[in-house]
Amino acid sequence: MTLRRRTLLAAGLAAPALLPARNALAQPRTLTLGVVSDPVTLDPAFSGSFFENQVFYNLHETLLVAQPDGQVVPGLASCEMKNALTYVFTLKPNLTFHDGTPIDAAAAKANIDRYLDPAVGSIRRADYGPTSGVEVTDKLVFTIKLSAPYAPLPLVLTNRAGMLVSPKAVATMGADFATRAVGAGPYKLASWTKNAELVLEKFAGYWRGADHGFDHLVYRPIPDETVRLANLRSGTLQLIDSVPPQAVGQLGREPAVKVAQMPSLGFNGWSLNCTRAPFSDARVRRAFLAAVDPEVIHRVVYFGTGRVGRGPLSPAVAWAFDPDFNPPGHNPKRARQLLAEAGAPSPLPVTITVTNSPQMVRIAQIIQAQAADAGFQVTVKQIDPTSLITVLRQRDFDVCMSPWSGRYDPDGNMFFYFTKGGPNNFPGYDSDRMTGLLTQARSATDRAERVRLYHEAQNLLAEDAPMLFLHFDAILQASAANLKWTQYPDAAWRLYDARIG
Amino acid sequence: MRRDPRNALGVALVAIVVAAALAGPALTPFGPEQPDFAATLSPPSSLHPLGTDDLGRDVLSRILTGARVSLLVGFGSVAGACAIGAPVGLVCGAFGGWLDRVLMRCMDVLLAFPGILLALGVTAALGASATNAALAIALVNLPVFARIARAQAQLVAAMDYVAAGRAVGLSERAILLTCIAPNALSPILVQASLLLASSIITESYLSFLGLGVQPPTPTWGNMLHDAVGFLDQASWLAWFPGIAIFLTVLGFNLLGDGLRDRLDPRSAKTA
Repeated sequence: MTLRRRTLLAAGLAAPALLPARNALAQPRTLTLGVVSDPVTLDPAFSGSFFENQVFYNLHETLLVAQPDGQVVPGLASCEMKNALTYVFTLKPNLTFHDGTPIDAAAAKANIDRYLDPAVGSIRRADYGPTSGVEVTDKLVFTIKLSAPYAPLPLVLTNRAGMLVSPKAVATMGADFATRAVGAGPYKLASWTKNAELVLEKFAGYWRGADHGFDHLVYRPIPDETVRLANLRSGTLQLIDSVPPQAVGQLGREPAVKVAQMPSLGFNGWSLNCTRAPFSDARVRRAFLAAVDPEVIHRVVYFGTGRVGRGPLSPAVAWAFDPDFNPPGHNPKRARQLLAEAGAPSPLPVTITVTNSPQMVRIAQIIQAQAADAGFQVTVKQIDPTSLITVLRQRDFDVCMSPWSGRYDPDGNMFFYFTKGGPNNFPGYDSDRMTGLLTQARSATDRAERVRLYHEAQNLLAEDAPMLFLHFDAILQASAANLKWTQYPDAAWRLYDARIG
Repeated sequence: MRRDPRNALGVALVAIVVAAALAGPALTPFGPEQPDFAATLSPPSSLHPLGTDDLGRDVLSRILTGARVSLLVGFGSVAGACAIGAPVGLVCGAFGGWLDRVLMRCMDVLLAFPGILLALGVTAALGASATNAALAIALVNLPVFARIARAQAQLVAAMDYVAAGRAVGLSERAILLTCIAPNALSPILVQASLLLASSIITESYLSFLGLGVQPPTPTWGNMLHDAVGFLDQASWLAWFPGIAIFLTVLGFNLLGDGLRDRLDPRSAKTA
């Protein structure tokens, strides 16, 4: 009897202590994430890697916020367009960066000036287009002035160029800021062991409140897709990026995990070098496009995920997508005719440059086989992923993969790629008409007019053929089945409101 | 001498691989680079005994063609390394002096790099191709041959018959060619057969990393690379090239052991 009473008493005493423990089990406080690569920098001004976005949208906060459907809503600030050249921003009151520095108009101006200053050398500077300056008009109000109309500005400010960092931290940390960045996002940096683990912890002063789903986010860079998947299945990771398309079917039958997919903003395109033979001749470029059948690539490489894409305007941006766009399709006979018209030797030797990503090598081999039927003799050349940007910028290729992660505004998918001298004009495409259309499209403020111009530009691209467009990939990510989170078409995770349950 | 079944197995495995490399593609009706987009990832069947890969290519044809590449790169790199490394080592060991010190320090520099790292560096610098892969592997093997040949030459140079050769007035060149080289040859041959195995593995590493033979030409290494993404869906893509590498390397290692037992008097005594 004594024993029973003691046991009951012990159980009664232990119960309150056990309750929080049970809750903790029900709602783990740490979310462990499998990403493809470690960030190179945590400073948005110098971010050039697509994979850095997975960290950035949790560490940093943007002036404006894009919803998954591309609609722009206020973030740290609300925005009012006074006229085509003037945008007025009003910041939310009483906010601070992770280090306690107030987020005010002066801090915002310091940030935008930093992005724009050629001496700083931010690679996001081009995102600001014709921005001529920033004026502080009140403690929380500032104005961005443009020298020419620039319709994409609000969407640009939902991306890295719109992320504010603590000016005090930038000044005091110097070069260390890249590894110890101080932002205003829902999470702040706790620790970073390069290529092993990056830990973010909850920031209680976040503008949406302190109702975070998790106290900590732990990023583990795992380049190998098979290893990422295995870690998700074992429960070591709860959310992973870049699920290989061939695994989607199988994962769909596993009850412990779930796959999330949606159309991405970007495109899978391959630059044809217009600045040297053989692709300096538009007929040879058109022949190459006619030689390749994207349907086969969609089926064999993408296993039916995403959709075939023949231009740069993604269906994820519904307002700009052209469902009636129908460029000439796969036609090896036509390709041979075009090659004959161009007086090209038969077979015509061409080299495809590709990184050693299995998926890209697979696509290159399909192109190789198909192009052989149309009179091309294709050699596949594999390069190290870090060399890709150099090869593209130096135009040291005949055909080279140039996939683009995409932007919410069609300007982001076309202007830098296809205008003369555009920083991403890897094909060396030189068209006054295209440059005129795209310049006009970014200046036009009427959306219907912009759509018309982009559709016209896309048709012109199909005609001039500086790029082989193959596919609109789906964003493929997978999580533990009980994790609730929101997927975005730019593939970046915003995990403030991710929850177990 | 008692016949060791391990040696017989080694000889048999190597013979099979060599036969496959020679007859290879003629044994199957499918071209190793011929895709069939309607028959991707087919499991092993009577039509495709080892299945098809992610682009619908016959795995058996690719394994057989891969044997040719593996052996060519393996033999080429070992022959190259031996042709340069062994004479360097013999000269250094036989004559010593400043030439010995300079050349051996160069070999030490090469030895100081981990082999795979050196091969990766060379192929990354020269570009990815079968020739460059063979060159890189040869460079890795070069100091091994030089060191072994030098040690053996030093050993032989101290023998009475070499002193006798000198006493009867043979030139240094004649001593090197007629007395030292033939008697230093056995360990070099044994080493060559063992390095063949490791060269085939190194070639597979390089191809696996995209630094060896370029697609669509099949090698066992790039077949493994292609298989990585399909371990769940089509495990045969990894199994068969893996087994091919395993059996070939086993064959050359057993052959090397057998040669050592036969040619090296010390191991014959202890056997």
